[in-house]
Order: sequence, then structure tokens, then C-alpha cells
Amino acid sequence: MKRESWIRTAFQKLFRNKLATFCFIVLIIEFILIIFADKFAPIDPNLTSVADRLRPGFWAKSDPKYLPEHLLGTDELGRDVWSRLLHGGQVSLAVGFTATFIGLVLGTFFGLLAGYYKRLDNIIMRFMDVLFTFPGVLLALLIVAMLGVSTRNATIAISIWAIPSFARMIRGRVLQIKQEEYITAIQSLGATNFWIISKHILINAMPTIIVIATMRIAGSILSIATLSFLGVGVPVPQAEWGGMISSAKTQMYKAPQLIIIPGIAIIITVICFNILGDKLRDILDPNLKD
Amino acid sequence: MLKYLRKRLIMMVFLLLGMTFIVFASLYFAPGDPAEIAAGPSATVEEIELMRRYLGLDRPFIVQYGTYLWNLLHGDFGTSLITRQPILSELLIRLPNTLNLATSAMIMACIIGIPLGIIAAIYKDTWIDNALTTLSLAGISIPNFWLGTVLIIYFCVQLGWFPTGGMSEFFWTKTGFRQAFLPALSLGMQTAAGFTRIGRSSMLDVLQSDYIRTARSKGLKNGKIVWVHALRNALIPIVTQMGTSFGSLLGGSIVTEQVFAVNGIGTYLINAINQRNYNAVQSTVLVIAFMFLVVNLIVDLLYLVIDPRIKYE
Repeated sequence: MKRESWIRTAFQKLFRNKLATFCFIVLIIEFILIIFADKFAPIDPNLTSVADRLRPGFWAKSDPKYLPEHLLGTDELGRDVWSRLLHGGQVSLAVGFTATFIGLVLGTFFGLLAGYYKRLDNIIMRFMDVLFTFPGVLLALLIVAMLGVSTRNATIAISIWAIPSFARMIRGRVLQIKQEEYITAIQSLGATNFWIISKHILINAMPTIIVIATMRIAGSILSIATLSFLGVGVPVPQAEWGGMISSAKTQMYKAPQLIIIPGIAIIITVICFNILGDKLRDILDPNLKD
Repeated sequence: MLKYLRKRLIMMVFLLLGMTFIVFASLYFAPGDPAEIAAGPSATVEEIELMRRYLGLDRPFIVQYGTYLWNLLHGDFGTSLITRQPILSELLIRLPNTLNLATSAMIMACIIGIPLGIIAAIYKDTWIDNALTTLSLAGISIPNFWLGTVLIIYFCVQLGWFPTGGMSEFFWTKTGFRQAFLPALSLGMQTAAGFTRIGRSSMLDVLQSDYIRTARSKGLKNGKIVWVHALRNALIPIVTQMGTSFGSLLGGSIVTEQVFAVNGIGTYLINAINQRNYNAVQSTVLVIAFMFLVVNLIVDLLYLVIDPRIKYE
């Protein structure tokens, strides 16, 4: 199977599904808005203005407090919500992608070693089991407690959190691939282990890797939002979706939109990644369990 | 069976050792000085040194870890650097609230999630199935802290049906039920969505098996086949999931406690992190992880009740 061909076939199948196509387009639009946030939201996201506190957005155009330059209104410090939403999205997406990537590389590395070398299997997987004993955000919280609160440390925490599940799933796939006859054939031809792992096993595990990475991005974006909400993720005043919800908590009676808007941004992003991951799994790796 | 139990317990001891080591080592190598925190902000260099010796922080790593383990085995979780109270008693006061929250969330997740999964399986490939599958994906994607806050805005502030926060009684009392309902709903939503997905696929598997075909050919009613014969077997993967889910509920309750102002061990942990109260962070993380391990062990043993065919080798 040629490498380009299966990716192309996968995408063709993916775009035959209306829901998946829709999610893909939504994400593309969102990425464009967020990447070019300075163009689409020229107001400084950290610019405060006492006179413009808690202005309503476009849904209350008749309200005399509405200012057309603040499309989504302003928050409790008079900062532009639309601008904070886009600039905050930069942080959420950057952390989500970076953490997933680091977790993916390390998790794949450990998963390949554990699946391929029987001697390493026990020691690597038992260590992963130990990491698995810290449920939910607990592992990330422990790492943040250790390193201190900063965006970089939160990214590290989320990456490490992602490693064990990546390693476990990749190992499972490697064990399957290793059973295949062609691997035995290549081994008997005298191929080195490095060659077999990098040239044959890794390539064949690629569909699995793509599927779990897509789903993990969703998880990582949720994680950074959660850490920021708890006050141990992205430090204030830097805009970030979870942090925006956290700081709006005090205004929940007067201005619930400050909580609802960033939440919708998180949900749209995470849902789209999850649906894409789900459909990709059906196409690429139907046997993979959640 | 006994052999399996022994193996499981040995495994658990190993995991506990690994767990304590990670927790201890991570905070041992953390920047920041516990002696400085314990001595207080106005302490002199000599006082900090005295405090370091008093806390045993001047001894080598392995000795400190050994002492730490030894103390843990004797139920001594150390004293809080801030309040100077034994951490175990501070945790035990708050533990009932956290367990109350996690348990009610688990019940909520079962009540919502499992029936929806079975319904989706019965109506496979119809619009009901599609709607439920998409809904479960949405359930997984909603951050629980956001859902909790929105529920407060709507049901507590605008409708006034529930108190906005706090937890003083268990969920089976009348007050406790009103206090726990919204937190349980927001915490349990993701788990419920997970149950729906797993319940659907496992029910579909079971419905394709031979004994179900036999039951059908015997002329049994569809309802009886699904809810009596198939359900028991379809529940096995869900029970497996319950073990891990209870862990994520304990982890998630850290967040939900913040939203609903519940004084549980999650709130304690967040405060400890912010105050750099290392001892308290260590012990709280350990207690949560330990509960997770115990629940998973219980779940493993529960299989025997649900499915006597399983024999542990």
C-alpha cells in the first residue's frame, strides 16, 4: 500500500460523510480566525477600560450601552470579549497541539519499544500503569504543583498526562503488527530492528496514531481550559478560554454571556475534533476502542 | 480465584510503591523550599535552617523517602505546613463531601447513560441511534466546569430551584439531594456519555450472539430478550468502565468542587497547590490515587458476581 494512497482514500471517505465535512470546515474557519486574530480583532485583548465595563454584545443592539466596536461586548475590566476570544484561542490551540504532539512522540516511542522488545515490555508498561493510577487532572495538577504555574509548565503537564494512553494503544497495535508474516519474513532476511520498527511497524501503526492524536487534541484543549479554570494553567491576564470563564464567575448574575461565549468556543472546537476522530476511526482503524 | 486475588494484591502493592515514589520524588525535586514556607514569611536564615533540620529535610533523599513510607504505613500523613494540623484529619473531614459528590455523579451517569446506550442499540441505524450517538459525543466534549456554571446560572439564579453551592448532607437526604443534584449532573455528564457509547456497542455485540437468536426463535418478546437476557452480559464492559470512571469522577470532582463551592479534598488540593503546601499536596494526591486503586480492585471482584463464567487464572 502506497503511503499517499491510503491518506487520500481516507480523506475521500471522510468527506463523503456530511457531519465530518461540516466539522472540518468549521475547524478551518476557526483556525483562520484565530491564526489571524490581529486582523479580525484589532483591539488589544488586554486593554482595560473602566468606562466600558460589561457592555452587551450584538444581541442587544437596541441597548444604549452597546458599542458597535465591541461585537461581543466587554468583560468586567472593559476588555473586548471578541478579541480575547480569538487571542485566547491562540493559546488554547497552541497548548492543545503542542501537548498532544509531545505526548504523541514520547508515547509512540515507549509504545513501540514496549510492543517490539519483550524485555522492555514489562518495565515500560508497569511504569505506565503507575502513571495511570493518577485519575483525571490529578497527574497534571501534581506536575503543575511541582513545576509552578505557567503556560509552559501546563503544556508539559498535559503532555505527560497524554503519554500513558498513547503508549498503551500503540503497544497494542505493535503487538498485532508483529504477528504478521511479512515482519517474520523481513526479520529472516536480516533487517535490523531499527529498520523494521521505523520502516514497517511505525508506518503500519500510522492510521492508529492519527486517530488517537485527533481525539487527544480535543482532550488536551479541554485539559488546558480546565487547568486555567482552576487557576493553575495559563496565568492571568493572558486570555485563555478556561481562564475567561473562571474570571467571569464573579459576574455570572450580571453578565452570564461572559461565561457562555468562551464555553461555546471550547465545545465547538472539542466536538469537531471528537467527531473527526470518531469518523477517522471508523475509516482507518475500526477495531480501536475508546 | 485465590491465586488471582494474590496476584492482584501483589500488583497493587507494587503500584502503591510506584505511586508514592512518583509523588514523593516530584515534590522533592520541586523548586521552592518547604522549610521556608513552614518557617513563615518573617523567618531569619537561622530559623529556616532550624526548621529544615526539624522537618528532616536536610537528610538524603532515600532516607527521607524511607521515613515518608514508614510514616504512611503508620497512618501518619504528615502535618500541614500552613495550619500545623495533621493532614490526615484535615482530609478525613473533607472526604465525605468528595465521596458524596463522586458517588451521586456515578449514580446520575448510570441512570442517564446506560438506558440511552441500550435504546441506541435497539434502534440501531435509525434517527434515534444517530441522535443519541451525536449527543453522547457532545456530552464528552462539554467541559464540566462550564456545564456546572451554566446550570447554576439557569437553575439556581434564574429559577431558584437549587442552592447555588455548598454541601452539608449526603445525597439521600432531602437537603442533600437538592445540594448534590446539579453538581452530580455536571460532573456525571461526561461519564454518562461514555456509558452510552460503551453500552450501545456492547449491547450490539450481545444481540448478535447465538443465545439471543435462540431466545428469539423460541418466540420470546423483544423487550424480555433485551432487558432480561441481553442486559446482564451487555453490562460487563460497563462495569469495567465504572472502575476507571469512578477514578475520573474523583479527579473531576476537584473541578466541580470549585464550581459549587464544596469543601472537599479537591478544594483542599487546589488551595495546597496555591499555597505551595507540599505535604498536603502529596497526601491528597496519594489519597485520591489510592481510592482509585481500591475501587478498581472492587470492580475486578464484582465481575465474579455478574459473570460467574469468568475464572481468573
